[in-house]
Amino acid sequence: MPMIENDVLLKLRSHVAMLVGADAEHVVTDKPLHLLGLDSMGFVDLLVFIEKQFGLSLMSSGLSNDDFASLSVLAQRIVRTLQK
Amino acid sequence: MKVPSSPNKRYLGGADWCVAAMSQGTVETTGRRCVFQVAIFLEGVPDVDRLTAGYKAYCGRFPVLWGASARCWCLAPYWKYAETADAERPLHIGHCLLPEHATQSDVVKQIETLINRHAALPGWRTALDVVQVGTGGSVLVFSFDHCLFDAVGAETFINLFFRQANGEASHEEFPLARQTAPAQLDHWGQKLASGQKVNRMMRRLAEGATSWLALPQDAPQRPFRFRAMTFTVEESRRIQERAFKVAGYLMFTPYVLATAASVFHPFFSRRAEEDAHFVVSVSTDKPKSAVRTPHFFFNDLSFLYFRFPVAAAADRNTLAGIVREQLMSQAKEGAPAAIEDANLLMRILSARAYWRFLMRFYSNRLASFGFTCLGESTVKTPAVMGCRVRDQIHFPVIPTPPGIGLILNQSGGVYHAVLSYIEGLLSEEEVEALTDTFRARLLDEADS
Repeated sequence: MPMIENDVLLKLRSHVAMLVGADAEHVVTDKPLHLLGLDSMGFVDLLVFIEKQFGLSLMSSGLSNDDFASLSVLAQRIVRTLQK
Repeated sequence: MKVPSSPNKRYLGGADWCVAAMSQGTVETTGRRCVFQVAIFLEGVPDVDRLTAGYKAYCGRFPVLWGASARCWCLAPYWKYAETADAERPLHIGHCLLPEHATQSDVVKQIETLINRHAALPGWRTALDVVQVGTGGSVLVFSFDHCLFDAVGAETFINLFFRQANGEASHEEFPLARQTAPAQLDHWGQKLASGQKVNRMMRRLAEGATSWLALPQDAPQRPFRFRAMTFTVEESRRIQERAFKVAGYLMFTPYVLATAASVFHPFFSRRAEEDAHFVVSVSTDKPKSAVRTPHFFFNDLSFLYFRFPVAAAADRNTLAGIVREQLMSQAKEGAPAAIEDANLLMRILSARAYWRFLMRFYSNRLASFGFTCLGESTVKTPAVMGCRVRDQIHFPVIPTPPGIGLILNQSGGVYHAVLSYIEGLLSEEEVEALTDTFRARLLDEADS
């Protein structure tokens, strides 16, 4: 996995861990976000985190539900958008 | 500056103090505290004596239950732990019998009686009433003082009790008997800025907002009423699908809130100007750490406010978009954190003074109704003393005013909603219409 993608994934994982009250190592990165214990508030919080952390406005970047298939997929999507 | 701390006290957070103020206000208005009940429906009847004795012993492990709030020399309010959790302290245990043919509505009436009785009594923090329905079923009605428990904390507390009753709980699962928390008497500049931010936000919300429903003149004599709505597994799945379609991925709460607002809308629009707004207060339970030191006492809540234009309030799908947008903008602005900070600042006032300040400041505009949407329950024990757990429903006393609210909870993938209101606020016909429409609209029966 390229370094930048790994960094993004680590940041996402640690933020989700904080949101769901778990340790980061217990947050799996290959399952859909709704199975990680995120609710609407947590999900919106994650979107705001992505905006602030990576300077991306995901809501207006044509994001589809497929992008939330897992944290790994989301990290890939963020990296792709950053590289454009 | 040395931050005060003591093993005998737990400093109260901003959410704790806000709940204390709302509870104080509700006592002044209705004679009842902000308490709530979690009703666990069982198949069969457990050994009631063993169960209730077990609950007494279980509660005895937590001196925090026998504490009370006090104020420190540094002005921060705190929870003072009792020296010992002795058996003489007020812990209500009850057992009543309903006939075999009692319906869910009869059970809810019994729960109403219990909550109204308990909420009027001072001093207790938790209670357990076993409502036995003939010989085939029972309901364990756990009551909690909101000053000490939020909904998720209460569920976690019950789950551990069930595990202990079943002989499954290990010692490590019990949290520390005495937990401390910092007084948070720092970053005053940030707290003041947050207070200013919240003040501006609230004033914006209150501007042009309709006032809440007029409380009955004799509110202190009126009990709280509940109307429970249950959904089957199939219906719950359908609600999730509709939420996804109408509001988007992981936007379940906006969907339910928009649906509720569209249903409540006629009660407010009837006496509002066309360009008015109505405001809904939403409280959400933050997840409690499941991995680090487990805890279930005190309030981990976020508060949000939504403002709906009366002209658009009948259209649920438009409202869903408005909720999503406002949720996003509140998260971006850091509104929940600012409200928490502002509440920390307001700990300088007594709970009563804080409530009066809120009432005077917002002059009957916040909020039209209260709303809470809980995630999947943390009560995971499939059976208690051999009786299968069939269902669980939350019944809250809503802070008054507004004295009316809706709570939705989920257990085993099945949804339950409860309309809670002070008697006299709505007529029986209005309650029927409101709950029927809410149910149909949540399932999208009218629109599909």
